[in-house]
Amino acid sequence: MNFLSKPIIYSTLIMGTLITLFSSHWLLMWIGLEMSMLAMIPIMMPNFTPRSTEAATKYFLTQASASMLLLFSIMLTMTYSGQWAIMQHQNQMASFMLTISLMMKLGLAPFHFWVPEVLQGIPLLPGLILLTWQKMAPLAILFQSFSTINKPLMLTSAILSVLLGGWGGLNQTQLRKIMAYSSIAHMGWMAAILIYNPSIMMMNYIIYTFLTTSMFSMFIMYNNTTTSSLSHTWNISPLLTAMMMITLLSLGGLPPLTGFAPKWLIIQEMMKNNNIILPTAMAMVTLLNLYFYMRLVYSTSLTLFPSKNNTKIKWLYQHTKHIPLLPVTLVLSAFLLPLTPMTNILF
Amino acid sequence: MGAHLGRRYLGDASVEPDPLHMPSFPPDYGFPERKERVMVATQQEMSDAQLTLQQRDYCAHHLIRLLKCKRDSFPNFLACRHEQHAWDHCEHLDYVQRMKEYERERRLLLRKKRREQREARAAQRAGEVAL
Amino acid sequence: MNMSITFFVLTLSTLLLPILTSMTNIHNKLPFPMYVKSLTSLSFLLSLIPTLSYLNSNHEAVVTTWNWLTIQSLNLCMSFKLDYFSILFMSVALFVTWSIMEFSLWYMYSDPNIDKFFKYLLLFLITMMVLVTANNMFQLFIGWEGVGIMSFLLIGWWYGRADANTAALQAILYNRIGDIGFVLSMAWFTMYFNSWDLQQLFSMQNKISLLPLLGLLLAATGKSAQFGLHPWLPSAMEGPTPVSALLHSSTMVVAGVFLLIRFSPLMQDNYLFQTCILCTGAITTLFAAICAITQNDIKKIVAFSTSSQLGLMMVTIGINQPHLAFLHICTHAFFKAMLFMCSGSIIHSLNDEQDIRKMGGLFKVMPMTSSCLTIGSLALTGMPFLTGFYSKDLIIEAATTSYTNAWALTLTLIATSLTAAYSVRILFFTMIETPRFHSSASINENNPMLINSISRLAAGSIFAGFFISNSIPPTTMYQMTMPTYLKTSALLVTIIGLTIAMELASMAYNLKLNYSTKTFNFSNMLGYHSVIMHRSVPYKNLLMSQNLSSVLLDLIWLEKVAPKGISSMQVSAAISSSTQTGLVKLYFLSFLISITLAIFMVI
Repeated sequence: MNFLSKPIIYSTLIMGTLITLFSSHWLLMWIGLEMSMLAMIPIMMPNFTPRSTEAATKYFLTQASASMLLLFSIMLTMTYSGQWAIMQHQNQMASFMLTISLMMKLGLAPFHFWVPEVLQGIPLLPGLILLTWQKMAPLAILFQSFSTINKPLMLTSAILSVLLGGWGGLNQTQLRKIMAYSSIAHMGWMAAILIYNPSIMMMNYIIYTFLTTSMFSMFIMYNNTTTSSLSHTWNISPLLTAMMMITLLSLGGLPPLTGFAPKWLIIQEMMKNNNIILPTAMAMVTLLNLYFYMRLVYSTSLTLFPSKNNTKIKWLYQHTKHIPLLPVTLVLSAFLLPLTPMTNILF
Repeated sequence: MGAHLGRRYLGDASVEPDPLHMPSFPPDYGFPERKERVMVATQQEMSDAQLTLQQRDYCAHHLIRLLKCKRDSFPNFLACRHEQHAWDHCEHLDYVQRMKEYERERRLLLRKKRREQREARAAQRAGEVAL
Repeated sequence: MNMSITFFVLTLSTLLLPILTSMTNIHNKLPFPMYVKSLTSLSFLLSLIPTLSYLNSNHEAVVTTWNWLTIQSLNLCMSFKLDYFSILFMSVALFVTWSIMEFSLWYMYSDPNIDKFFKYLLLFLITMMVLVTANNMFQLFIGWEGVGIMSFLLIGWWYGRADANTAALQAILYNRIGDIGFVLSMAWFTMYFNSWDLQQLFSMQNKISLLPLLGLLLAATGKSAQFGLHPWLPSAMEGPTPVSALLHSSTMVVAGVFLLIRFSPLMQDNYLFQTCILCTGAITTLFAAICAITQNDIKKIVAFSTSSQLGLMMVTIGINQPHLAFLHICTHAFFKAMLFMCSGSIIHSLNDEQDIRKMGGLFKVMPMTSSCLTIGSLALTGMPFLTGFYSKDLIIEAATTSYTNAWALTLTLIATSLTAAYSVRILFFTMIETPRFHSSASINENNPMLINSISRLAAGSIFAGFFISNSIPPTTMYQMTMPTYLKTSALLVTIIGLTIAMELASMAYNLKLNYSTKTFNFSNMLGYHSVIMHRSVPYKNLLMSQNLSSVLLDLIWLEKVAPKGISSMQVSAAISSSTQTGLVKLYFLSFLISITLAIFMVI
């Protein structure tokens, strides 16, 4: 990639999302979304391999159709209410269109198919951006229009996401696909709480961002893309295996770790709203996620895999990659649970 | 054992008296001058001798005498043969009397049945004649 | 009167002394077993004082000390009942135990743990005393469980042998079944009478239902080896012979009968329950007698005869003569303990040979043992004016003249005649004819500890019945009036049994034995009871359980439902939901379907 194009593309990416976040005008908001989507495409294919091109194409097609639908919904709103300001949708059809288009952008359940495929085709850093930064803009739109969203539609999509995120991850050995399915499941949790308390949704998103950043940083460090390559981590960096275990368990939502906080708050909030069956089902279905996280934990830190090991003392060598934020995100993804009460202040 | 069992299993069980529910006929039936038996030992005497409930029968006065004798001639457990025999004999006579009562009951039951059969036959014959 | 209570307490505390001081060296002048034996004899002599006092004044007493605990309105006291039953039984049991302990000094001479053995015997004796003198069901239960556990320990004395361990476990398990009945009765009494005190229970005798009584019958059936729960008694013969003599003939096994005697006021008007006891007893006495006929182990023959006599005691309770049953307990203790000791003497002299087919001719070499064995057998068969006669004859007379179940009565009479048959068999095989044992056996019975103990009990077997039945105060009325053929019926059936047995034995002595008859197998295999109850029922049960657990439960719960069912369901769902996701067609198809559905929902 051209050395000049890189800052331009990245700044476009950031600017697009920021425009979406700051605008109160539907069209500008749409423009911001489009900008970040278009900027994402060159990031996704730093090397012009067929696999990454395919992934970028798939990403473009789905995102473009979602944008088209979003624009259609904006037009409908404009037609019926005569204004561009983001406010309550009087028209149910427009609301449906908006929700579905954003679900598509987020990769929520029946439109989740592109997420693992696209993620599998691109390098790790673009993958991280795709899973974290690119979710921010659609979530911000949902955050602002949560009160008009159709509840059955959103809840159906939520439980489906958690379920398919669990099932999909069971069948994978590729780390990026696993992280993609994990993302789908987490998006399901966020979608479930969105219509009740969007603050918790934001909190969940932030914590999920920390966790995913930690995971991807660790993957990037040794360029791990498969479970079997992950199982060599003990040889390279024994400390990292322990941290990876903690981060994975945190992703799974086990109590003393950060990942428990959003699950706890979501379940509690849904129970307060007399929705009992859905959080129960979601908590049980999330066990599937926990299962494949545990499988990663098992192969990374609990056992020695019967795989080839040419150099016994890799951990002696100097690390070539340095990820400065890794310790911070690791600590945040492990020990944030005691700060849960601060969510009331934050949001 | 013996007679009553043989009769019960081999003979006519319907006229066999139930010793637990006796007598079913008035005691002075056929004996107009019959008197009720009287206890020789009084309630007070039996209480003083601390007799158990089963022992307070018509022979209790013999038993009281036997117990007194046994106590008086304590270390000699072979003494009091006479008193022992008197008590045993009294119990024997009492048993014989009970058996006689049983036999009376049995025969009265037999007689009652016989009479009923005769009356039934007579009634049947009368019915036939009337027809 | 107060003196008798003092001496009763002294009797018990004398027994406690060796247990309490076993850690100290107070008794270092004598070996511990000798010390225990001497204190038991002292205790027997002390117990004679309350007994004689009771025989003189006919006064019963209840000693209540130390309020144990109070649960709501249920008050538990440590309370002793000194009545006809407990006072007489204490003396008899102490006398028998004294002799048996002296015998054990000889029999267990070479045992390295003889101190522990005597401690066990003593502990057993104490718990037996607690059982007979208890005035409430709680204390009775302590004694009841105490004799059970001591029986377990003593049967398994030679715990190195698998048979002994099995027998001990069998005894404790069968007793546990009986204990279920005991606990059931206790629970019922707590619920409905709110008391465990015997006097208070007896005062409620009109209000009692059949259930607690049946519980007591189950308890007695377990402890006294009645039919159904009987197999542990012959198996218990794996224990040392003194144990068999003490526990399994004279004291522990009569505890069940004793329990029913204790509770006889509750059941004297309940004819249905009496019939239950009568039938249980009659079946037991006949069955045990039949089994005894074909056994070859001398101790097992005596054990079955004990079982048979216990059945006879139950029959006696069943015809509402508890005092008579108690008299039989007392007289039976003497000659049955002696029979066991005589067999112990023979077994020991023949180098632990128990098979009567390998004995014979012992009359010449062991005159004392043989004489006592003969006396004991005669007393057992009810030879007139020996001890057994005084109770057994009365029992048969009372049964034949009572208004009772003729079927049960017939069984009892047959069993009585069989008593003579198996007694003759023991005598015939052990004493007469030529010896069939190894000539290397060093036979010596000239040991004072053996001779004294056996002869003391022999004197008891001859005279005890006479003394006891003449000196006890008149209790319930025995039947005095009967025709001659009924009066002599007990003797007649015994003589018939004896004659037939003798004739058969001498006629068949030189014939080739044919083992194939079904009746012989029935008797020799103990009525197939052990085969059915110990092998086929548990086998079927285990097989069914195994099938249920492995086939039904494991298959349904583990394979089909959870966790394998869930896992296979998730795997198939995972495969079908995450394969072939790379097609753009699929993305837009899902988009199309969803958007169409959404539009339909809105419209």
